[in-house]
Amino acid sequence: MTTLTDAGIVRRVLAGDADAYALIVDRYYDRYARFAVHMVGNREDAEEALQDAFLRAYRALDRYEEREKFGGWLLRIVVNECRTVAARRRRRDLRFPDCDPTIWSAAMAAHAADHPAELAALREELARALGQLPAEQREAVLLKYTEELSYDEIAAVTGAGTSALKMRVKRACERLREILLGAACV
Amino acid sequence: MSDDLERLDEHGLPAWVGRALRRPVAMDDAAKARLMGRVRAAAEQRRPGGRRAPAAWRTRRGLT
Repeated sequence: MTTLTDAGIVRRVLAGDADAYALIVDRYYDRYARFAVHMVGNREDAEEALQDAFLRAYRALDRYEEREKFGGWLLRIVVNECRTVAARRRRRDLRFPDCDPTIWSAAMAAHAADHPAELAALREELARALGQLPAEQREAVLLKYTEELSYDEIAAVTGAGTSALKMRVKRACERLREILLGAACV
Repeated sequence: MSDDLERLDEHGLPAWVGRALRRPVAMDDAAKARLMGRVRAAAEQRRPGGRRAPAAWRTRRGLT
C-alpha cells in the first residue's frame, strides 16, 4: 500500500476505501502543517485549517484530475483554508504582539544559534515578524520558503500572477529583514 | 553556526530564517485520528463522487 502513488491512493478512496485516505494524511498533514502554522500564527488555528482542508479535499476527490500533481492540488485547498481561518482570526483578534528588538539584539550578542533558548526566542521573533506582514506577502514568502516552490508553482496554488508574486516575496523579505535586523519595529 | 546569523540568502534574509521556516512541524497523532474519524463519518454519509457502493456491500445486502 505504501508504494502507491498519490493518484493510486485517490483511486482506491474513490472506489470505496475511505481508510486509504490515511495514507494521504500521513504523507501531507505534517508537511503542510509547517506552512499552516507559520501562516496563521499558532498551532491551534493551524490544526483547524488543516482539518478543514483535508476533509474538504476528501469530499472533492472526485474533482481531482490526475494531470495535476496531487500535492499542489491539496496545497491549494490548504492555502484557501488558512486564508479563511486567518480572516476569522483577524476579526476576532486584531492585534499582533509587538516585536521586541531587544530580544533580537541580545540573541545576536550571544551567538544565538549555539544557545537553544536564544534560538527559540529568535523563532518566536520570526513568528511575530511574519504576523506583521500583509497576508498576501506572508502567504507568498511562506510558499517560497517552506515549500520551496517556483513562482509558477506558487501561481498555480494561489491564483496570483508570477510578477505580483515576485513583488510580494521581495517586499516581504525587505520587511522581515527590516524587522529582524533591528532597523525598525512597528 | 553563528555565521548563519550574518550570512544572507538570495532574498537578503539571514540564512537562519530559511532554516527556521523549513523546520519540520509535527502535529500530534490525535489530530490525525480525529481527522480520519471525520473522513469515515463523511464516507458513511456520502460516498465520494456519488459512486455505487462496493460489491461486497451489495452482496451483504442481498442485492446481487
